[in-house]
Amino acid sequence: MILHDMMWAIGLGLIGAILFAAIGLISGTDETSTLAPVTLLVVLLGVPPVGVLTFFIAAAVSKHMTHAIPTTLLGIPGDTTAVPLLDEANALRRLGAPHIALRKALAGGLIAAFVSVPISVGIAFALAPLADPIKAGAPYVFLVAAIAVGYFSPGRWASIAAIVPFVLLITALNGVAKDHLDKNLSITFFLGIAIGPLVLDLLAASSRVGRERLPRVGPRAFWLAPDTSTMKGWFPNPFKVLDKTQALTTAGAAGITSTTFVLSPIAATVLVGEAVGSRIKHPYRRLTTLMSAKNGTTESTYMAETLIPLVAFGLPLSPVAAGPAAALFNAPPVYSVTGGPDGGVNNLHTLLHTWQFLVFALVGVTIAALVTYPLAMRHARAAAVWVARHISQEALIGGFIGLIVVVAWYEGGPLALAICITVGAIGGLLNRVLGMTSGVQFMAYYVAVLLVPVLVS
Amino acid sequence: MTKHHDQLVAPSVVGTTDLTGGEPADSTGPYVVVWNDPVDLKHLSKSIAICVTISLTTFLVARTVFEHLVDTKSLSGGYALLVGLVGCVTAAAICARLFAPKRTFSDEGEDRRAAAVAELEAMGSTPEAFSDLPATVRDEMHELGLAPAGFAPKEPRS
Repeated sequence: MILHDMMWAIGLGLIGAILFAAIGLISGTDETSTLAPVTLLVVLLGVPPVGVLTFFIAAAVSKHMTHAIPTTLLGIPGDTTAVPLLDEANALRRLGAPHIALRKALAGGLIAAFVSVPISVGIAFALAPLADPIKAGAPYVFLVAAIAVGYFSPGRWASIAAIVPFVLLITALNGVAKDHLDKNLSITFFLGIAIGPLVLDLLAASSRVGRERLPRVGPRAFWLAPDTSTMKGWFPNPFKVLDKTQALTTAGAAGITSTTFVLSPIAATVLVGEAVGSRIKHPYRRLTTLMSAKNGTTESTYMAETLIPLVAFGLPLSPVAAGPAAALFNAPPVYSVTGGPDGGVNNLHTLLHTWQFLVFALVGVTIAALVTYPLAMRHARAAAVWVARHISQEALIGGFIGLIVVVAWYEGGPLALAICITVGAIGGLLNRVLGMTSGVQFMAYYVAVLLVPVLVS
Repeated sequence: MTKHHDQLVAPSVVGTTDLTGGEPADSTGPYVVVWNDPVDLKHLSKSIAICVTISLTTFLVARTVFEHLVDTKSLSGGYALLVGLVGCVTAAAICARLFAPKRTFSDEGEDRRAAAVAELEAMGSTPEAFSDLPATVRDEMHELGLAPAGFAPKEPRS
């Protein structure tokens, strides 16, 4: 049995690591809109729970490693979570040391991933006594979570106010689906929210008025500093890439931020950056230490936000859990947060033991460390150039739209596709115009599904 | 990455017609930024049409075939989804061949070294601060050519 689980875990972990190492190289791809649908696909295809967990962890860690490549070498954020690193990355690029920026970031991320998994699972274990009251009050907990995430989103009060119309929209669309398809939709809503900004951009681009608002540019120029340093050995030791202070600072920051699961990775990264940066005087040392500590924090917060709610509650109570990791919690008909035997929850939380979370999350991190980390360390420059030269944004967007159409059609035919586009257009508008991030919208979805029926009855 | 640079490399024959030149690149460039990267709108609409057609057709054909071959309905749907995904990837690969990226690669001159040292000093680096740094950090800076003048690299350990 254990051998069987391990085979699934290693197989799926490898697929996740390789696939998302490639996706991470493409600048601008958003984690929620890439990792979420593909994880969902893995769940729907019937992969066993250990395989799903290892796939997700290996894919996330792997993508974080390769998205540091466009961020540091090209100066284009590889993902929304890489945005807080951009200042330091650009400063080091101006110093002609983008490859140093990259290696510090990768080494920091790797150390943080290994530190954060055991701490997150430990914290989740400690929180387990709270699980029953939280599950009992889940509908209200999600309302509180939606308001809290809204408060920390760029829109703040506007985001909180917009929860009401957004919840009503989802309730109404779900009612239409129930009338015509005899079932509620969930994947469709989830995809719609995830790709909202893309849908809005596409609609704007097809409108004569909207087109004038989109920035018009020439071809995006990029340059790369030559990589002069030589790397020894197949596996560059992260403790040699970082000096002792940097390794300790990164591990410390990762350890502390692994205990929280309510701050978004971006917010935690900015906070750690302020705390660490103010203590180091010399600019070169400050920049390199920040690359490592900040990237490490993004990684550890991400792991904590996925693992703590998953292990402790089985409810997606953090921005990452409700966004990129949502399919680990809710992917009908395979996993669900309503209607199951244990307080309604039937997902990885109920299907795996605590020790399995620890072991298989570490297997996921290890696979990313063995496959993606050495490749990213050694071939970053060549990979960045290849992607920038051969993968056009047009092909990428086309592929994603194709994926969305197929998955929505799979759940509910043309009606589901129409609902997906509706949610995407309105969600994207609220996101871009009011600053109501997709995290708030995901929470609002759970409010619509869990709280509205309670209030109405 | 400067706007000035964008304009220097703008090609003259591209999808849209309003390439006047002389204006700032961010208001009259031939491309529109969609999802954080520049695209040619004609290429984008063709790409979406190709990808949606191929993916959806693949999925629907696969679903019909598997419904006849496999008894369990949820399983046949899952297989069809997987085939549909292969369709998406294939379609995206075709579009990557058809439509080239709107990016240009440029090399910068070699006088960047001096500029980099000046940049570091502007950020607040002084020779005194440098000599206070641990040896490992000083070595790293020597390798990058960022050490201030007058500080010889440490003898390499054998």
